[in-house]
Amino acid sequence: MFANLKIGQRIISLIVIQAIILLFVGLISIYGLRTGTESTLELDKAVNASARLNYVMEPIRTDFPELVNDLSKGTLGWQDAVTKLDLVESDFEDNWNIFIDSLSAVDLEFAGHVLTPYREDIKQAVTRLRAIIDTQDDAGLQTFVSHEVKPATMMFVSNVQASIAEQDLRSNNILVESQRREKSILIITIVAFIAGIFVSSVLGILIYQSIAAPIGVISETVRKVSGGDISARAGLVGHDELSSLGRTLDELLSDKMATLDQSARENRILNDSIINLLRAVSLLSQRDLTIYLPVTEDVTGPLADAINKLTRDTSAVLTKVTDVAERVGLASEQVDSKANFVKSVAMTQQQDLAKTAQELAQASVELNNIVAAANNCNRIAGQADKSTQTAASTVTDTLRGMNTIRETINEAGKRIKRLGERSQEIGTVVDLIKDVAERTHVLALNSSVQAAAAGEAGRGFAVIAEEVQRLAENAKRATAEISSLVKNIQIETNDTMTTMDRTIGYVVEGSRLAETAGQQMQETQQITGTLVAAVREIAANTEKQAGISSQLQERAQSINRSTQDTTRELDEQLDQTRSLTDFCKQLISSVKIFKLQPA
Amino acid sequence: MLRNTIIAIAIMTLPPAVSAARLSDQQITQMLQDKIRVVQHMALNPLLVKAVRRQNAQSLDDATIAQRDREWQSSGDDDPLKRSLQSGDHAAVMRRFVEQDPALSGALLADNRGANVATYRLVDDYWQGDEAEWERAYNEGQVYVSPIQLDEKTGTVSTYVAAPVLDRSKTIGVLLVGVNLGAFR
Repeated sequence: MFANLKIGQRIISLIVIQAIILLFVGLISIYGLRTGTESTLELDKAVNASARLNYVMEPIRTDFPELVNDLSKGTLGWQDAVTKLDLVESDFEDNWNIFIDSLSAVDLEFAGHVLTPYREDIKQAVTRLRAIIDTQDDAGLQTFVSHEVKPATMMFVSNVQASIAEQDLRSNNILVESQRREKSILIITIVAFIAGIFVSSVLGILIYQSIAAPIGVISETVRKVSGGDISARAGLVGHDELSSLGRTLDELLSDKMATLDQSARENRILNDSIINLLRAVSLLSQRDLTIYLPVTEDVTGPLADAINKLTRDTSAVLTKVTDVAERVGLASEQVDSKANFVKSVAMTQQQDLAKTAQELAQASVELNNIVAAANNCNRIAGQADKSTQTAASTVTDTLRGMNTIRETINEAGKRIKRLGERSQEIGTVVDLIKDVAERTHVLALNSSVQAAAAGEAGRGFAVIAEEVQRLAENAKRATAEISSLVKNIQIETNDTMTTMDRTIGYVVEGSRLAETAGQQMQETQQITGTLVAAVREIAANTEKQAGISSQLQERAQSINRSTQDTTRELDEQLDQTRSLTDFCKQLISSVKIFKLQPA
Repeated sequence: MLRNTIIAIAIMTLPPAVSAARLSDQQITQMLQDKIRVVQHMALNPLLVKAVRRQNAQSLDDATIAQRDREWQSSGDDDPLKRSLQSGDHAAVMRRFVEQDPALSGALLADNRGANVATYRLVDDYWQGDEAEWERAYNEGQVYVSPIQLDEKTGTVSTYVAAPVLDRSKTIGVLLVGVNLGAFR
């Protein structure tokens, strides 16, 4: 607490603190005295106010009623009453003015509220009494005594008494407050005084301890060192004189002890180094290559360094061996995987080759069939050529026959045409007959009319006329039938002519078709020749192809044999690769018995 | 100190619109302080003290007070009891005070049981023992100002000031005075 203060400063601080406490107690006392004085002044004011109020009230409470009573009883004359009334009034006014002058502004205002209105009552009563005295009005005096004196004075007197009571109350309050404050100040003063004594005592004790304690520590340290405890130190901190002394003592002891400590420390370090070496060798015998020996500056340093190098190098070599073995194992696994893949490919290839050989054999058979078919085609083509030639000559004959038919039909047509012309000539004759028949009919009709006009004489003529008319009608009917027959012959002739023309058309078309057929026959004959030549060439090529196909079949079988040999070789390689992987694993597990340093 | 606190509480109960429109808080505080002093002064009047002391000496029992309270509430203004409480010097003092000051609306003097000793214009109940004004002023021996009330019809604000009646520093009764704050405008 006081370690940073010098001894002189500590004593000065004690004096200053005591002075502050005294000052505080003194200030409290001064404050108590001042408030006591203020309370006394307040009290004095209240007592003065009470006294002045008594002075104000007294003339009204006793003198004025007494004057009125004496006057009404007759013990006081009118003239004396005036003198006494003047005295009472002046007394009252003087005391009132003194009272009013002593009031503060606030109290003055309050007095104006509660006393002034009733002071006016007093003034009016005095004026009224003065008027009664002046007129020596006995009746008025009696009325005044019985009805006016008391109401006029009662309010004022009772209010003054209330004000006096108020001042008493205020005095009482001031007194109580003053006593309370005095008590508080007394308590504070006592507490401050006791606290001051306490603080001073504590501070004094602390300062004493702050001086005595370091001295005790220093003497105890010296005693311990002389008794053999060479590690004892004062250990004082701070900036005062005793702390400096303690530190100097500690430094002296420390210098002496340093030499002894040095040799002990060196021995300890050498022992530790040897123990470490033994531990390391023990771990090495347990194949732990992770150990690292601290390289000390003593004689064991080079040995530890050599052991560290040995373990480090061995560990590095074994780590590399493990690494290589792992890589070989990995490579073997990859080769194994690749060989499996090649084997599966070879198997697939073998199957494909077998299938190809089979298909080639089938193709060879098919090619031989094609050769036979081509030969057959060749033969049929020859027959077709012959047939075509025969057909060509047949067509030529047909063409000739067609021309003969056409000429015959032309001749028949001409004759039928002539027959139609004759029929038209018959028609002309029939028309002539028809005209004669018409005229005959008209003649017969006229004859009938004339016979009728002649009467009985013309009867025989009438019969002839009827016979002629009947004949004309028969002729007419016959001509109509002949005309109809001729028309039918003409129609039939025309139809025949039309049919003949159409037949001729057909014959002409048939001839043209026969000619076209003949030309096509010739073209067919040429094409057939070309076809026969092509078929012959195909047959020759197919024979050659069949020969090549057989060769292919033989080669496919040869490849198949080679593939089987390859698969066998791959199986052997797989076995060897697996053996290699197993060897790698064995090598890694052998190295693992050593505990290696991390890479 | 306590008095100022009571006044502040009373003013806080005043509707803000009323206080803002008519009187400031400071004005009301000042006026209330004046009226409180007047009421305290009245309560120290020896005639009133003497009247209370006289009635306390009668030691009215609960039944009598309850009986009078019932009769008080059911009777008219010409009731003998009511008329008797408005006569006498102490009643005259109260009347003069109220008439003298337009801010005072009425006064009521009650004894140590809360029974009326004298009344002027405040004649609702005979027994004041259950009223907060009497309870607070009598039991605490301090001036009590009731919450300020607003008369919606007249727009005026009013309160009651209750002061203890002291006889040689001992509370023997309560003087209750109605104060019309709106009359100060």
